[in-house]
Amino acid sequence: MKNTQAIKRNWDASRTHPFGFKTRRGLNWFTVGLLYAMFYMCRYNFRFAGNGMRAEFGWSTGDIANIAAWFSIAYGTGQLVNGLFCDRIGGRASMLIGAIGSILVNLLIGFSPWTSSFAAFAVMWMMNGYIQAAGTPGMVKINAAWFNKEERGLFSGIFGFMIQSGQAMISMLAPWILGGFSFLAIAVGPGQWRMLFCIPPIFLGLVAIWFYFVSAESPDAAGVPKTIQDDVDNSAGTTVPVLESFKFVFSNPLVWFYAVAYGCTGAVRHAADQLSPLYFEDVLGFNMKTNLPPIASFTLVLVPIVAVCGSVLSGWASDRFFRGNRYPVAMVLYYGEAAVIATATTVMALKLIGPTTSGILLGCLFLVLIAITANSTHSIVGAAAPVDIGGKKMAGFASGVIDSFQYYGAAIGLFLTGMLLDVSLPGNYTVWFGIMTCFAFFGGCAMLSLLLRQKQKPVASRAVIGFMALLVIGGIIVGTRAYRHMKPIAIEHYAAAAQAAFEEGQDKTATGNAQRVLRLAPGHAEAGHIINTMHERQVAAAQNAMAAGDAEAAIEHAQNAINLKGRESTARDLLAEAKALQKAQEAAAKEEPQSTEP
Amino acid sequence: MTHHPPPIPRQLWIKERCLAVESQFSRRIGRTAYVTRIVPLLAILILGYWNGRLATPLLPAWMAAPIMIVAFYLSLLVFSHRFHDLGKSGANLLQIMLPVFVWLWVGGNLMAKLPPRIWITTAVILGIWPVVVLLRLAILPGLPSSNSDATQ
Repeated sequence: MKNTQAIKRNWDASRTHPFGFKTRRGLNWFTVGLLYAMFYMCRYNFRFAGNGMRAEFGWSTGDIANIAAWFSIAYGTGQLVNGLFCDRIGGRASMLIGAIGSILVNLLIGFSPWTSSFAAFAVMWMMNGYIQAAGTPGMVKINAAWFNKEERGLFSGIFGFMIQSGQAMISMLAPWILGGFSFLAIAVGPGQWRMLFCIPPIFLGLVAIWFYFVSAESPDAAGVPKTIQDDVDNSAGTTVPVLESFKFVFSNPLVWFYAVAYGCTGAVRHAADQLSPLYFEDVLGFNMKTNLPPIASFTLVLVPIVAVCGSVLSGWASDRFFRGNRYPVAMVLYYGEAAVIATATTVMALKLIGPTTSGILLGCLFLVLIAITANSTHSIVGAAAPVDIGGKKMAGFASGVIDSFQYYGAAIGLFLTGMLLDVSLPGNYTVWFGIMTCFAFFGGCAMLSLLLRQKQKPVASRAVIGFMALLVIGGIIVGTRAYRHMKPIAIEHYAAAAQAAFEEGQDKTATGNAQRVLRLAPGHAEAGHIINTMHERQVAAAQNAMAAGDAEAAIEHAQNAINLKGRESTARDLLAEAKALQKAQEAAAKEEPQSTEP
Repeated sequence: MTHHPPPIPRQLWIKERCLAVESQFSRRIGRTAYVTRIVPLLAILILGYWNGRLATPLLPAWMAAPIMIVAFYLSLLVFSHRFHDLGKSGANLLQIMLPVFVWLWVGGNLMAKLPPRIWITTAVILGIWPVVVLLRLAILPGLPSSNSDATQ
């Protein structure tokens, strides 16, 4: 009872601020959060430009995925480096540098008819990834100075909301841009993907100007001094030399516990986000392109909402009941997440998830539950914990280190999942759930180990770390064995399916299966034969269309051929010729009405 | 280690504006004042939403938007004042605003894609608690003594 009263007193005391402070802080947080949401607009625009880039430059889907992967690596690495400099130059400067850099790179891509080189685009997008990584450490650092320890959980929940709103904004803006629009004297035709790199930077620029004038680095700079108690370093100022920040953060074991756990969050969150559209199609039998069923749209709409609710609730709970300690809440969330996904794995293995009414409901329910748990850990471990560790002076680098692990974890998780899904039979996503379960459990163990360490039980903490090492070794052995066992079965199954579809004239199915076989066994003769035949057919169709003067059909067939063989395709020259023909036809069509005028 | 310079005049000006806004919120009103103020404000907001959903709005967006923004701000003030009168934090207005926000965020998509029975059910479920809170604010008597939420 006394303990409860003490917690309540602590909670109330941490929320008592001078008159006017909460409004000033709200304005500051709104400004910083809005700028951060705009960063997302200048990052997720690439998703919507992929199709246009493929069509214009003759790139394959794999090329687009590669650019996205390079972006992630640059972003993760940028977090480390920029986080360190952020502690030296301050959060405001860091966010402004990130905003200006991202605007410049986006505009460079938007006004880039000067190049169609894959390497040039990859480099530019990596530059955007690197410079965008100045945003998170800057935002975390600014807010570190504005919130007491017992208030930061709620702040981290709102951080989750900002991320979702940035994604939502570009999801609304991109279809409008791609659909064509006119504004004052400017008219943009449909399908102009370059505009996706020209318009979002305008929003980012406007908000950056607002941010420059309104935001303040700390309450001291806003004229409300000595309002916030910093547990790490309560002296004046918010910046420290690079070396000091580096030494403090790198030698702090808490950072590494959280970083490992956050890597697991990244693996689960990114696997769930990026593979769920495939899961809807392959397992639940939805048609995501043309006829999205209501339950799928409902789930897709519900996921960001529950994600935000989960973020806010977990942050609030860690503030309210655990005196601002994140690891107990994070541990419960990780183990809860592992339990949910383990249940999903079992249900999937029992074939209860599938294209039936109950199967679809179960499948969607699990996705929603995973979204709650994954996003809850994402907010408190990724946003609140670095602030607790680094305080207002070193939160930038702490955030950079921890957040970079999210991207490395995501890369490892997606790589493993992709490898095992490739050798799974159609509609079987058990390995997807299985791998997510392992990562969630591993994250829980990292938090348990930290909990024991903080409770002065170093032996038990080390025992958990030892157990985690065994888990990794066991996971590698079991995974390798499973992969070796599943691979020949999958090759045989997909090769037979490709051959059967090829003979029945189902070109799309045959191509998909043959490509999958070639990924697993690059020298597979039958699959190679199917792909070569399909490629020749598409090239011939493109040539015929060119001969008939149908540029549009020629472009489509040439693009299909390129998608089959990538850069080895001979259709790349054909695509260029078809585009030249299309331009000539368009120019002729424009001139024709003028020449008939009296 | 660097130190912050004293706040620049612009920051002090922003601070003054924040103080002014917070003092607007830190008041209290009784039941009658609440009902007479919130009913027309909610009517304006509902009419504005309906106007926005019309294929050819009766009021153009450039006229409707400022009216909606002002009505929204005033309704936040009225809710806060009434919560303060009950001895509660003005942040309790989120009990009304959050479900409405969720509906506005999701509602358009749902109406376009889901059968009416599902989105009507969703709207009813989301609406129950805000309606209860609205009624409680209209019925419950205020605290006779002053409280920390309302300084004026």
